[in-house]
Amino acid sequence: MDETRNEPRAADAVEAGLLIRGVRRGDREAFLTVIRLYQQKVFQMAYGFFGNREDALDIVQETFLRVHEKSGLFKEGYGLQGWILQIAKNICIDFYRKNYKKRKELESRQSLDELNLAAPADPHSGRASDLPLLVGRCVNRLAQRQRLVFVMRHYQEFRNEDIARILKISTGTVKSLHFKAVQNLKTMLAPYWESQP
Amino acid sequence: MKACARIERRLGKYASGHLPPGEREAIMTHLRDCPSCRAGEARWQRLLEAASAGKLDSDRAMTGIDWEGLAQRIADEAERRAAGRRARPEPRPGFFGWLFRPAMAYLLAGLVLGGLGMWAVFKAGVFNPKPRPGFYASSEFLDKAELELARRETVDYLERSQYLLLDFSQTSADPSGAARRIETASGRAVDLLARKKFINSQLDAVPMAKAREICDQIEALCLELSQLGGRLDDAQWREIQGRVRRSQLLLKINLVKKELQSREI
Repeated sequence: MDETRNEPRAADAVEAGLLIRGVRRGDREAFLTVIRLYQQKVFQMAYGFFGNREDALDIVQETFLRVHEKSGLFKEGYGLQGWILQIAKNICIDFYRKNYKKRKELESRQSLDELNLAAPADPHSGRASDLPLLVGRCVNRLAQRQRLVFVMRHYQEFRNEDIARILKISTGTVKSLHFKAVQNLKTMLAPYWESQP
Repeated sequence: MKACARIERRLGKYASGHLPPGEREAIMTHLRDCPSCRAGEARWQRLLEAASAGKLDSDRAMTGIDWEGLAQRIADEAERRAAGRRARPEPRPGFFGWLFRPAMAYLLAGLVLGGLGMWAVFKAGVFNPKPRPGFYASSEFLDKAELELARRETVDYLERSQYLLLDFSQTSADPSGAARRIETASGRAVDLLARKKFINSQLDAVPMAKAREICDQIEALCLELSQLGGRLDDAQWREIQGRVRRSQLLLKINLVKKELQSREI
């Protein structure tokens, strides 16, 4: 875990069982502990998915409310982090379908020039850091699963095995989705590369 | 150039760390000697670095968030909703609820049994009996059969007439057996008249002009014989015999009969 970000460490299986039993009993402190442990991870995932802070915070809230409501469905012995991120992923997808689909369709109709992908990297013009920004915008144009894998791999620094467990897919599929995502990003960013010296 | 094209296809996986060690080593060796592929690899690295920069962006977005306050708000909301769920009365069982489950089960069982019954009934073919084996004959075949029937009936009639006329012409009218023979001839003539009535329709329907003419002559003779009955004297006997001989009726009957027999279908 990155100490500089002061993130709490994830609970192990025994602690997770204790915490979830507490949540089921209505123990507020146990629920607060669960939230404190995982809210930042859920936020990172949602932020990577939507690129919007307010939406990410909404996703965090909705995720933990659902965790509280469905705590009876958690199977002890399984990873609590994986279960919570699965819930977060489902909420992200629902939220995306409700609020983002039309926006993405509009955006996909825009040309690459409109997205300013070919903007030159000029340190004096304040555009030296354009590439991360452009990558972020291009990530939002990726297909749902590719985006999820990409965000979890690069923004949350999950291992392929963890991503596979959370998304309930095989490690091979995770690798394939990640590779496709990177390929698509490369294609989308081709004008930018061409404009570079 | 071929090697470069192959390496370029693998550069994405190489940069993402998805290649097995052996392949990775091979690409590293190629990159040392090939500036073009090195440039391609550098682009991939920049892309992945830029992707990782997205993380920095999310880190920036996380700054300034009151995580503890957020946790408290979420916990408050969760408790409020849980209280709402507890306060909400248990919903009355609907049509698919526990109250109606036995009825639903019986209904389902009835449907299944009824369906099976109907399936059995239809399979047995109660509503769809097998068609009886019918008989079909073409009109051409029926015409041929009718012609054959008429031919046989006519040949039979001619034969009987021939026997009658032979008996009649070859016997003399001696007084001892005259009455008995006349009686017999008269009876056979009546029988032939009845048969003629039967074959008339067939002779009309089927084109047999010669047979029709002979049969008409025989009919006239039989009619005369039947009308005379037992009152036939010697002179009349001889007169009829003479008429039969003069008209060569027996010969004509024989010829027509032969002709009909040779035309067997």
